[in-house]
Amino acid sequence: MHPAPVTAIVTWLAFAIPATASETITYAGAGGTFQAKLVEALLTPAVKLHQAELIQTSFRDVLPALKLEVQSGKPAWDIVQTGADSCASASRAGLLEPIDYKVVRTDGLPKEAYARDWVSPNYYSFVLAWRNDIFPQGPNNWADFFDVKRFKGPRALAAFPQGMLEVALLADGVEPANLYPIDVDRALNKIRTIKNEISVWWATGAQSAQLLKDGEVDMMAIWGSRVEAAVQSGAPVSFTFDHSIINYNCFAIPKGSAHKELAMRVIAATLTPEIQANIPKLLPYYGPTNKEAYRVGLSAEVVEKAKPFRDMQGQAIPMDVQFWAEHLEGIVPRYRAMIAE
Amino acid sequence: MERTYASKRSLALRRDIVLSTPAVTAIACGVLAPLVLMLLLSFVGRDGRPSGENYKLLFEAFYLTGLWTTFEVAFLVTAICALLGYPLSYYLSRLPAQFAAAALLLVLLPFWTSVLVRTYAWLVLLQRHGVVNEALLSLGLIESPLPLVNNLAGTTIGMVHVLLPYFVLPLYANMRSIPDIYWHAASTCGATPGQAFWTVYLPLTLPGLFAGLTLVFTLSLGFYITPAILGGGKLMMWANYVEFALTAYPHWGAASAIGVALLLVTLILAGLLQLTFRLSRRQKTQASGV
Amino acid sequence: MAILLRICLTAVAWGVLLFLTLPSVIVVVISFSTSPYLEFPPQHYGLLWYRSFFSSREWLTALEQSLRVALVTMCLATVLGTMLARVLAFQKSGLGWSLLRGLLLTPIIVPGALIGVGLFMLYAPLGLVNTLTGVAIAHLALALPFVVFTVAAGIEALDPDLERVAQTLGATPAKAFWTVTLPQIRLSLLTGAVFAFIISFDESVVALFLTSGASATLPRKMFEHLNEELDPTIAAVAGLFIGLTTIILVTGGLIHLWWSKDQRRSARDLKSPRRFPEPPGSGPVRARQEHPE
Repeated sequence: MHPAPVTAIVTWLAFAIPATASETITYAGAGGTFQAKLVEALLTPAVKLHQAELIQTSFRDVLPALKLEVQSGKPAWDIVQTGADSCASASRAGLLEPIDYKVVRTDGLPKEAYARDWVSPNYYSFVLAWRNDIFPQGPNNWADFFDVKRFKGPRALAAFPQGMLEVALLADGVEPANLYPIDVDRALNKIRTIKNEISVWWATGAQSAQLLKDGEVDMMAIWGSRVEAAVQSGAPVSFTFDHSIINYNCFAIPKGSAHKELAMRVIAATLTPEIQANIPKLLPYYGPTNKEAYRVGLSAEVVEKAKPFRDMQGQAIPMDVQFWAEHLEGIVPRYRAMIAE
Repeated sequence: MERTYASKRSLALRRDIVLSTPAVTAIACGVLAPLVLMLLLSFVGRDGRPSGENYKLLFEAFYLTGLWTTFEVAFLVTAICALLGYPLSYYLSRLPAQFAAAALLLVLLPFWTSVLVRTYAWLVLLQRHGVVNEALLSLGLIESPLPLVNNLAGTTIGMVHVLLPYFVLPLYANMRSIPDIYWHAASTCGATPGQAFWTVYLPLTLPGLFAGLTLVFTLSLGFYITPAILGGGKLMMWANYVEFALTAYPHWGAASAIGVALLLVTLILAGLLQLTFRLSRRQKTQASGV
Repeated sequence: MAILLRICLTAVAWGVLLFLTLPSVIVVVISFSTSPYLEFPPQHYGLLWYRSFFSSREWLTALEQSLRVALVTMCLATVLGTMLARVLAFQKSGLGWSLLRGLLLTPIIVPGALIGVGLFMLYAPLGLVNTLTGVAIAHLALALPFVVFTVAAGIEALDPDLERVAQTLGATPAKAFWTVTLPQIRLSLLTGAVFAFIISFDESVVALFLTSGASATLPRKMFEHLNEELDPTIAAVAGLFIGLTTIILVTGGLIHLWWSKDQRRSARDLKSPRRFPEPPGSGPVRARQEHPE
């Protein structure tokens, strides 16, 4: 058989056969059980409403990955999910499409839950978690986390500074009210005191949960939903809401996305009370931003499970999204340099 | 029409050009074009105008540390490959042909497996509760798990595993071509086996050895995936810095400058490699004249 | 003393061989475990994670992408590479040829991350990021050197006069190549094609920068899930990679053995000067052996 026609046919076959038929939405999140649950709670019903197909993907570090997608001119993502601090930074860097608020309704949402380029479906918190088979009494607050003499063992912190600097300052005795603007030098120096005990600087939420589950580290600062997943899977892990840092989650659309309009409609659907009501059901350590969600008939069991999270909201310390929007770019190299020392 | 020799030659040349153009274009587009673009962009500053500011970045502490780490790891990996690879190559070269072929298959199988898959395998093995630590713990050899991953140790082990075949193959080829009779000749001249090795055999393997060393060192410098996965965020090599710079700065010039620096060092070392091949060819023609 | 040294040497050599092969073996074994944790040795065996892989839309899309790119790369690299190999074979000296050979070395020497980043910057304004075309061009460039060197070596092992003989018998150069050389280099072609396929299928670094989301190749998707807490489906992916490589290499090796026996036989007959019946006294058996197939 002559190679030229064979090559031509194979090449044509490879390129011509379309991969999917209906319109698709590519959703990029932080991966792991959290992404699976969030998608199940919010995205799947929303996408089904609009008869589209959902493709999932995940990233390690959201801002560099988002930047690459947008810079490529052909972003593979239509909806990106991350923390509001990152959305604010991305917005500032011009990486996001403005949200069309004629399509996306904000009834029932507090005003901190949306901005020009992003909107929040839920909030979550950074907590202190530890292996209770190693520390049955457990470290009880951030000061304990930084006390390597009393609580010996490998720890993990995130490879990004948001939340970590706040935790360091709290351990150093700073009052929550005086946390912002963050004294970066003070926070970095505090982290340096325990640097030898930090065996991993985790990059993704999924990785953080895995580290705790595997026992790769004995304690860490971790997102509430991740630690819940670890506990659910039977790992000997405990955590505390004491002085936890609370932040908003966000959905945004990368600039240049091919399915912008559909993405807007899907996001709008995730904010409706009916779909928001899935959050207390599937993600009890999360809070839906739409207060109307609680008016939709929820079973007593679900309300009970969501109670600890609703209660602690009063004591939790909100992350200053604006601070990070302005200073993230300057702080990241310093944080990374500290890690590499 | 009379076909002169000259016109036939030019016909042949034209045919050669037509035949080779598609492949050359593919490589030009796939490899040369991006490198040229990188070179050009490295001289474009933050404001879009020509400048050398990107290269000044290379002298910042952050990047100098990276440079140092990269060379440190490359040296370590090359040294370990040499220590492990030389005996292996020697052993393989002394095996009868069929067995050598079978053993070489064992060397080639990992060579042809994806870097990512092999690095993942080491991740599974070296974790705190991974295969290695669990085995050592159950044998009672250690009391608590060793930190074998997310650091220099893990990265080095992973890289040695990937690069060892690159060291063994050229050295093996060289060793295989050394006739057994040289050993006999040396002993008839009164040399002990040890002396024969140092004064006769080792010098004859130098071209292959040098080729292997240079190849492994050059390839180590450009490694990306293994340090990214086994380095735990603590160990970054030059290629990781290029990626970091791509998104850390608003313009691509910074990443390009770092990339060009890496490329330059790689090309210089590759040139050295070419020299060794020429040396070994000269040596072979000299040897065959004996 | 010499025996001790010999034992040490053998031990070290086999130790290193074990070091090279054991990790892949262990991963494959673990992939057949049914526990949600990566444990070795597995307590229960089963195809759980392989089934999970084959029932996952996400993973299958990535597999499809990888196969498409690898098939295109294999076909294009073999055709283009053979053309270039035909030109390069038997050319020893000359600046042009040296430059050409140098060009062929660049995809091997240049770090993959640089090619990846550079192509990303090149493709972005062209809209080729996250497309099959973009990755295919990159993989084609990466695979070509292997194909060219393999096929050129195969051509150089042949008698260069055969093609000229065909031409004197009236064939055009193309037909001469087609009917005379090509059948004899089947082995090299096969090897080159296999190399090209494996190189593209396994390629991780460039794909990392050029593909994502729906266009992700299998290694790209694997990199995404590397630290996942979900389940060890990724171990099954690794197992598939290792299994695929092993099967391809062993099959290729077997075909190589089978075909080369055939080739050695026909080459021996072709070059044998004794085409005429033996002089009397050498026996009928000899004459039978000399008769070409």
